[in-house]
Amino acid sequence: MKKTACLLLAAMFLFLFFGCGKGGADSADATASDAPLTARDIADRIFAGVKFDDTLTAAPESSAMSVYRLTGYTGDCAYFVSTMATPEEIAVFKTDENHDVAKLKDAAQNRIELQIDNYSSYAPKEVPKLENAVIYTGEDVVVVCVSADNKTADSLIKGLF
Amino acid sequence: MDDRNSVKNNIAAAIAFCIFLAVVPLFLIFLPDKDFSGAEKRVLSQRPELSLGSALDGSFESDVEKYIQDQIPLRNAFVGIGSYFDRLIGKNGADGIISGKDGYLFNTPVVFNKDSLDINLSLLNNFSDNVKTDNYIMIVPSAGYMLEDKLPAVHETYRDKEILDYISDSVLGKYAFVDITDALSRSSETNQIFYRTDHHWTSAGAYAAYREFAGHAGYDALSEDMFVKEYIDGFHGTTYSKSALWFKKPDRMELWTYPESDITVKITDIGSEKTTTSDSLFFKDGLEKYDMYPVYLDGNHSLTEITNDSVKDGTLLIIKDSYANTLATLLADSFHRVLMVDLRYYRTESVSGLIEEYGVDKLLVLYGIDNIINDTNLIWLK
Repeated sequence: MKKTACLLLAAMFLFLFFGCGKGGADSADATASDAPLTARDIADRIFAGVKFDDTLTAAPESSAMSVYRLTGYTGDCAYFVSTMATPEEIAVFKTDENHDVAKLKDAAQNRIELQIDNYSSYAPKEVPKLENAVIYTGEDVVVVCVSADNKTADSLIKGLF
Repeated sequence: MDDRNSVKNNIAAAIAFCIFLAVVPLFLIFLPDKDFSGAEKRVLSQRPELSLGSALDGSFESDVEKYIQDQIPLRNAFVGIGSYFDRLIGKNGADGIISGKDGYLFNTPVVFNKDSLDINLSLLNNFSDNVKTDNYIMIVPSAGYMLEDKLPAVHETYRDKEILDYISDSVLGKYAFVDITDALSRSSETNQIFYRTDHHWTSAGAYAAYREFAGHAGYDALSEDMFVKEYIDGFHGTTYSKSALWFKKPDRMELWTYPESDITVKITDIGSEKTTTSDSLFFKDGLEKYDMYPVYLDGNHSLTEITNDSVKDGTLLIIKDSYANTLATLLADSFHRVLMVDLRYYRTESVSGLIEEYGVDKLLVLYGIDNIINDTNLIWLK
């Protein structure tokens, strides 16, 4: 009985280690470099590593501020938008003196809720992408990703930080 | 004896409950999953995949909960019962839909987000400086504002007048504001101007706006008796789906055709190779689907071009949301060409370039009152 319990405990510890190992190559890349990733770096990595049904294109930072209703925002941001009729997008916002993580997260959640409301009317089949959208909050960054594979996006984004 | 009956009843109730607990999972396991609810017009959650990661982080458990909620047998009935019960206990409007008189289902009043509206009006005003067209803006008020007599006695206040006045003042000098509230109000005395089970205006409501716009844009509006009307029954729209009040009677749609028009419709979706052409303004294939509203010009697309060879001149470009789909079927009878651009789908191309390419002389911005405040796609207007 005691031997069995010890074996089970050992197996549990192994599983815990596997969980900490998530993120693979991306995680290793992030830790290998000392320089913090820029918003554009983060967006590029998400774009390269996640599946999108739509064609995404980089949009001006001013578009991101307008879409996310971030008046007076001066931080580092990157924004990729879909060119067709889907809600897919990548938005990365680093904090500035007027916009902390909480404010940026609120803006992201408002954006997703509004999109759900809009797409419920005219393209309801796109709504699940929004309902499972990734909104990641880090120490000084908020990342939004709406894609065809939000689970992979979630893992990838977490692996970057 | 009474004790024995009581014990028997308790046992029977327990057995019935256990059977219920056993049978429902069997239905979930053996019945095929539904992927879409036509009544609610939304995608339903599918059977989640179990993985170590999803089990450890809790997402599997929440996905299972969503799956059961969406796939449980008789889901529509349960949702409907819940919705009717909510109204019975006074929660009319809690889900965003107010159940009114005569079968009307109204969206709750739009929140007057001034910051958001200012951004959109600024984008529109800046755009007007870049084009040499006669510019108009028409905002469709909400059904709840226009049909106050159909609302229940207790309801939130509709601030449409305040919002419309604010818009009118903000675009002064850039766009001629086409106020359609009086025209809609007059029409409502004898016509149904909004659907009961959908947030859109009816053909009669759009016609009132068509006549009002004629006075601004300078075309001769066709009289109502010049149109041939086709009636389509069985329309349940957006407010019906959102409310889950399944016993509400469906609406009747009307397709108004002017026989003298010689129409060609060309529909383009940016990013797609596909172009659709038709010699009719009405796409009746859409009547077989869960959403019948796209019968008007096949719904929303990047660019819709309507050419009428029986009208010699006049090119109108409409920057729009879905309200324009009905109105454009009337405007097409008074202009040689009507172009509709939906910025939700027309993001990478230049609208000013389109204006120049087609020699557009009149520009109409047409949105419902909620979208002019909340739409975030006007940033693509260039």
